[in-house]
Amino acid sequence: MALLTIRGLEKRYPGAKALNGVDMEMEAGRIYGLLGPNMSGKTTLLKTIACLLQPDAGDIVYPREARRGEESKKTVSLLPDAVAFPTWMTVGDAFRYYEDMYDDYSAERADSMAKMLEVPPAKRINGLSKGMQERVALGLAFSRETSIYLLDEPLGGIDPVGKMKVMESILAMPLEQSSILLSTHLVKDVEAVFDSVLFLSAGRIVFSGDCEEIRESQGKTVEQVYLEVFANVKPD
Amino acid sequence: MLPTESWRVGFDERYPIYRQIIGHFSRALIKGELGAGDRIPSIREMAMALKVNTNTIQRAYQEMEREELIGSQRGKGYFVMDNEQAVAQVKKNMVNETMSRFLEEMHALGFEDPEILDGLQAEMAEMTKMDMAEAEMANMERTKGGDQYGAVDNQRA
Amino acid sequence: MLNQIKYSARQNLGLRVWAFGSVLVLNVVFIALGALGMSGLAGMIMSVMGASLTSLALTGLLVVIVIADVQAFRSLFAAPGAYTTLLVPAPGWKILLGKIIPMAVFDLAALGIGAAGVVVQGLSVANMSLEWGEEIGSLEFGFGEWMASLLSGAGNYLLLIISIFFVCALVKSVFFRARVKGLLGVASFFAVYYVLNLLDMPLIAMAPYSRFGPFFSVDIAIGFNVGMVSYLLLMLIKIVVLFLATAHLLDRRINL
Repeated sequence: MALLTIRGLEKRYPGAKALNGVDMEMEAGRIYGLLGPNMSGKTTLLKTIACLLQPDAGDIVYPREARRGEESKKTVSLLPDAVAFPTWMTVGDAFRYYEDMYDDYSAERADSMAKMLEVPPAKRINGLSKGMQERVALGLAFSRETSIYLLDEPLGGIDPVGKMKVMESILAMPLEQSSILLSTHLVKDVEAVFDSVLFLSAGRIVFSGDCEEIRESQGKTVEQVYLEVFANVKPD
Repeated sequence: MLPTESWRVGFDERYPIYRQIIGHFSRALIKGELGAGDRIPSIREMAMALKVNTNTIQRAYQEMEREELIGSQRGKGYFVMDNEQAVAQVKKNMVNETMSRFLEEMHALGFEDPEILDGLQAEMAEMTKMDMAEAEMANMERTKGGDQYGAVDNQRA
Repeated sequence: MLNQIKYSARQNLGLRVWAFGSVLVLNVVFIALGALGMSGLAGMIMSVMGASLTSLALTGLLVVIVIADVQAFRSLFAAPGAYTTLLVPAPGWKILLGKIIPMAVFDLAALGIGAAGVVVQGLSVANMSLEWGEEIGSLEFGFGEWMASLLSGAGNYLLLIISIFFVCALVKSVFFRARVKGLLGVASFFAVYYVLNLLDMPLIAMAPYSRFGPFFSVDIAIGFNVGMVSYLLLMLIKIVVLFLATAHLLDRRINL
């Protein structure tokens, strides 16, 4: 029983089609990598699942058949591509905000994530470095006990030490009844973390597979397969 | 303490990672770095240390359990089994694998078996000589500070 | 929903507290001066100065309020700030109410005090003039008149604010990459507000009253009569319809 099923998802921007019939499934207990070059529609896909964007066509079946909207927002936790918090909020304020706004917030989980990611609770978010802001946002996304975690480029703009911490916190997440979808264009550092990968090209999933299987059957790294798939794709 | 950091850095993502993990454990067993009864990290601990997916680690552990190299106790985690046969088997497999890979490479380079055998014997002899020379040097270093005549006498004997 | 209000209030706090506080202080001072009813030239000068400074403060306050209101709109319709609000599992009407209530409470209180200051100053100037033998005319304010003025003013304010939210929501749902920007954007929404108020036309004829000011109406109604009641009822309907329409757009159509 898939946790999330997407069929024929389409999304148009004025002048371009960002999602052109996306089909995919996510199962519990797995970490998925959503791979593709910039402008391939990764952010659009994640935002559409999270209800920040409305699709033009297609279907999303959420966990426990939650209805799209208020219900489905309860099943999805998004780490967006850009974070913006009110200027007055400290890191602690942001966690308190999540506690107030989300029923599935877990103080225990929040604490352990905050420790693992080493976020400073008393500092104003806007005063932190970009990398540290990402870690705060990741900690917040993970502080909720929900079904689907969508992480939009969590490794972008982070130093190597920060990257390790981010990967550790992703691997520390208990996934008995949840799954993680992580989008990135930096495949090399992180392919060992994925169970499966989904390649998004020009608004479609052109390839998906289990990583260890790719290695077993093709003797190639996931990055090599990625380069092969996207070598012929012209950047927009 | 397992050298997980060097394992992590050394992964070749062209080949299944779970197999490489089993390989590392096997080597540790063969070399004696891991002994019967030793506790090994939980699946989650291993995943975080190696920065590898938990399911991959689980697969490796399951395989090793099947080969009776490790076992798990409810609530107590994973341990190395006291199973000489299993370790012997692993040793044998590793030798065979290394040997066959070596032979494949040599054949690919165009060497014939007699050549390979000669080459091996020569190399082995060379290595033994070097080992002995090294041992002698080490011995001399050790006894430098002590009774010169005594040391020389010891060597002669 | 209380949480939404709490955070919206906190969000808009800084600017509004500053504005609210300064207007409060200024008006208390001037009202007091007016009430003291100083006589003679000194009194006259005090009253006139007071009146003009109060008006200035009121204008300044209105500018601050508009800026703060724009921030509230942007925090709802402009990415990425809006992510923190719109990822929360809550129905559109709760989110909207959570934004509007803190705005309304502060703005109306500040405007109310500002207006009171202007009126008292006006009265004291009128009294001073009487003292000097000039008749400006009498302004009779009974309870009904005050109530009508207050309700009408508050209603018009709410209508304005909700119109602005509505137009933002509409623009965002139709042209979803459109950025909801700045004072210029807000200024254009006044057009919607005035258009909506054209619906009042038939009722305006019925009730003899006047209105002034672009930001709120202080209706000096001579008598709390039927025309006034129907006017207020129509305003209420407009407010509710616009509110529900905006909430629906938030729920179904907003693209960030």
